Amino acid sequence: MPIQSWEYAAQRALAGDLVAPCILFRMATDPVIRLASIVGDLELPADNIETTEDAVYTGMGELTGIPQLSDLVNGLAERVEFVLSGAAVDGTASELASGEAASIREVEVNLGFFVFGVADLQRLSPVEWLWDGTADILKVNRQPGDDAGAIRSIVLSVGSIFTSRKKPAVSFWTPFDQRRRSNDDAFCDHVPKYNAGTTVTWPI
Amino acid sequence: MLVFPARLFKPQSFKPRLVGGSVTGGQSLGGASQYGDLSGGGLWSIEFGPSTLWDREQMLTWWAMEAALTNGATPIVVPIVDRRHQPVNFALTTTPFDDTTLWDDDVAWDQAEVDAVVTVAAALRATTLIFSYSGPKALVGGELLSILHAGNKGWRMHRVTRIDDLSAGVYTVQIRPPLRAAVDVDTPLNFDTPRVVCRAVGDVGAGLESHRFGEGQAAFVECFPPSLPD
Repeated sequence: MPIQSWEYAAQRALAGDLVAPCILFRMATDPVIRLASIVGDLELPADNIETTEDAVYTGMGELTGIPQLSDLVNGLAERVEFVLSGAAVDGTASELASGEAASIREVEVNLGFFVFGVADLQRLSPVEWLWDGTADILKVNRQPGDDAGAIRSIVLSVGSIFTSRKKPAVSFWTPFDQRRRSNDDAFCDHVPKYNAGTTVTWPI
Repeated sequence: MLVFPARLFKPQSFKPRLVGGSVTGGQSLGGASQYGDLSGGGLWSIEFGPSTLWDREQMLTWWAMEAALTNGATPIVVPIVDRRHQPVNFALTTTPFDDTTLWDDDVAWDQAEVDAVVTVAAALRATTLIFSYSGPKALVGGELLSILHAGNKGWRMHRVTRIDDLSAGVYTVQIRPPLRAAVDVDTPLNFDTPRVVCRAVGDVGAGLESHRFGEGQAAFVECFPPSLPD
């Protein structure tokens, strides 16, 4: 987690009851997906998460749902879902959904936050990258809608560190887990044959 | 690119305003609540009141426009035609060409009355604009202005919220929403008919009454298409 110092003005901006925050979503696919919760584009300087100088974050209605996130200290690893617009005005989210599932697995997802000054709407604080996770599964949801039309959203499931697909505390590392990490690695293919009480003859 | 023909339809009213998402933390025990604006300035929503369509040209144009808007998927440039409140003369004066030009005599054209040009380059999302200005009326705040950006941004509209300085014909003003793209020196500003790229919202149809008259009503919201049609 980067450590950044927030200047006094930014801290005071959050202390009042009127704020103008901006939430950033960065997904390290190729090309990088950069979304902001505001309307319009936004340029940000480089830091240790956003390594491109003057990276442009777009705000065109893509980011429709940010989940509740916890700061993990001695807690359970969490899996959360980000909701992106599925109507695909600019295509980044729909490219995600229509592309290879493998291209989003293990991709780093970062969530950032900063504050605008309410008087001049200029960025008042450095970007605080609050949370990072690894993308996993993409689903498309469609809700029948009212006059405005059906709502189509893309739900991205992101796990924090130490999540895996297995729920029990103790389990086997199956060939499918290894294939997920590297899909041409047959190293673990014989693991299901190893059980207490069975004799494995050599050669296999 | 499609342009909403406001002068042809003459809507009875219009309401351009900035809308945006907000969050509130709910009411505290003491009755106060915290409020956050997540839109970073908002986007334009323009609602037109009813337009009475009484002749053939108006009805046909409205129907053609409605079909071309493709239920809101096609962008359209929406102008704000408000000569009383923009810093222009109320009467639309047209000036005919005279002899020796490539146009015939007495073809009428109108020229922008306000000449405003950016004098200091402004970055993306800037809320301060510095420009030279000459026009029939001085700016007082509240006027709309438009900038034609290159690429897929097209026409974008801003409202002057505050005049910070005026010296030697150069204004320094605050605008909302913030600039949608960086602006170079010598970029012209359109105060005469400010306009913005929008998409239609809701029902834009106009029914035909007595086989003759119709009434149309349209609402638009600012949009950011990936590319603009010609």
